Amino acid sequence: MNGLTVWLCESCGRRSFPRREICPHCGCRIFAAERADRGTATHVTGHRGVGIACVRVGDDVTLLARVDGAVAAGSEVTLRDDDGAPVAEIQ
Amino acid sequence: MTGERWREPSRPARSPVTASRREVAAILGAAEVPYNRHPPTGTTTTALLADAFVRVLEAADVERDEVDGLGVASFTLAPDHAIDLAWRLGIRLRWMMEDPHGGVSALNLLQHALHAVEAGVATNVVLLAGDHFGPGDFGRLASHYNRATSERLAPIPTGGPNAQFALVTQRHMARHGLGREDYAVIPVSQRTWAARNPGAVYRESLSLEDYLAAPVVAPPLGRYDCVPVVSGADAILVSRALPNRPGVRVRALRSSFNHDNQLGDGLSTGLGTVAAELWDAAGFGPNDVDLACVYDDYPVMVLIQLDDLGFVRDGDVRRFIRERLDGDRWPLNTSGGQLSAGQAGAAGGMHGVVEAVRQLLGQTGERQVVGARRAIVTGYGGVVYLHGGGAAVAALESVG
Repeated sequence: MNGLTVWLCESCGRRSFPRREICPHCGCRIFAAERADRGTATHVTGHRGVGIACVRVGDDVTLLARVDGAVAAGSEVTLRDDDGAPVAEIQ
Repeated sequence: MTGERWREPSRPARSPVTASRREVAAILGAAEVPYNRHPPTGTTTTALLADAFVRVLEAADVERDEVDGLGVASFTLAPDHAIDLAWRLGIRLRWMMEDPHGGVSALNLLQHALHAVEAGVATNVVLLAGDHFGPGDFGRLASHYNRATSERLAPIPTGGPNAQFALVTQRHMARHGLGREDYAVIPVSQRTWAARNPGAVYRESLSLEDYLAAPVVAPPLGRYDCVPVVSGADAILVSRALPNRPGVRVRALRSSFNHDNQLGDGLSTGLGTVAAELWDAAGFGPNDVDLACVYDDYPVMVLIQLDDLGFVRDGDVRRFIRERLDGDRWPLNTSGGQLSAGQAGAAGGMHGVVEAVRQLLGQTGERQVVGARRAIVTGYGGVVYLHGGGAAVAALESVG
């Protein structure tokens, strides 16, 4: 699937991933699913042949993703969900 | 009813729970079941924990029937729990707990055990930590450490925490202007201590060149940045402090859980939030410490914790490495740490407690820090998603 589901707090508008039960910023319990399509790879490593990136999505979310292709630190990436795995690839 | 009836074993007199007088608790002994990189067929977690139990009773000179408290930390004890272990060990208990939080579990158990003894609800508490990883066990643990791991990291697959700590190390390098040779100082120095620890699984000398030439695990981490997984177990015995009885008092113990809600960069632990309170309660400071056992799952975490605790003057990590850590002048992780002695799963957090207690009791042979009276021990773990969520620190002092 294209994009990755992140969780938008209905009260303060900040996003969480993975999903929380209570918004860490404002304490609200109501979240709306939102599709995140893009992010920025801030750091990249790899383990046993799998490229792994730390990806910043907007101002609130930092997540780990599998790297698909030539992603480097600083790369703008598109995001998708591969059966639970966030995947980051060059736009 | 025929046959001999079971009788309550005799116990030392104890004051009732409601007594106004508080007991004073102390650690009377510590023991480690030798770590094994390639354990023999037939090794079990329960047997390792039982070995640690027997060894710590001997070290503390306490009889099995006198034990009335048990705490355990183990990833591979399941489906058994503490009560099953009590049954296998044949002990009757008044206090019992289990802690599943990895590197922070040992100090968490210790904190609660101290309270139990001080409140008079238990007199002799044995704390056990250990694991035996059979084929596939470590992979299963790494993929199912928690729900976030099962659902969001294992599908990548990240293959355990090396990737997370590679990313933390990259950030730390950039923040402090460090290179791989700076991190090397920790495993290389600790290896010089391991050479004097017959229980360490890696004792041969390690050079900077060896470190830099080792296979890459997850850039920038190489083989010597990652702990060797072993089978083994550790134990301590917490009891009442007795006059003229050598022991180790816990002057202060502070913990922090989920300090940053995983919204931070992993370059600080919760220790920074409790450090001032810890030193105040301990009655001594970083300059008074004779040795430090700092949880060393990765070299970067040793540096971060020491900085959080106030050991790094002006936050100059680079200078701290060169002035304090290079060589074996400053007694840091004198067993060789987990990086050389090995990480026996949930025993990782107990390993440093055992080393510090044995140092303070003068029981560490060739690597004994002469005149050691005060130590600190840390635990770090409970990797929630991006980095560890739990951290704890204890300030120890020998008495008696």
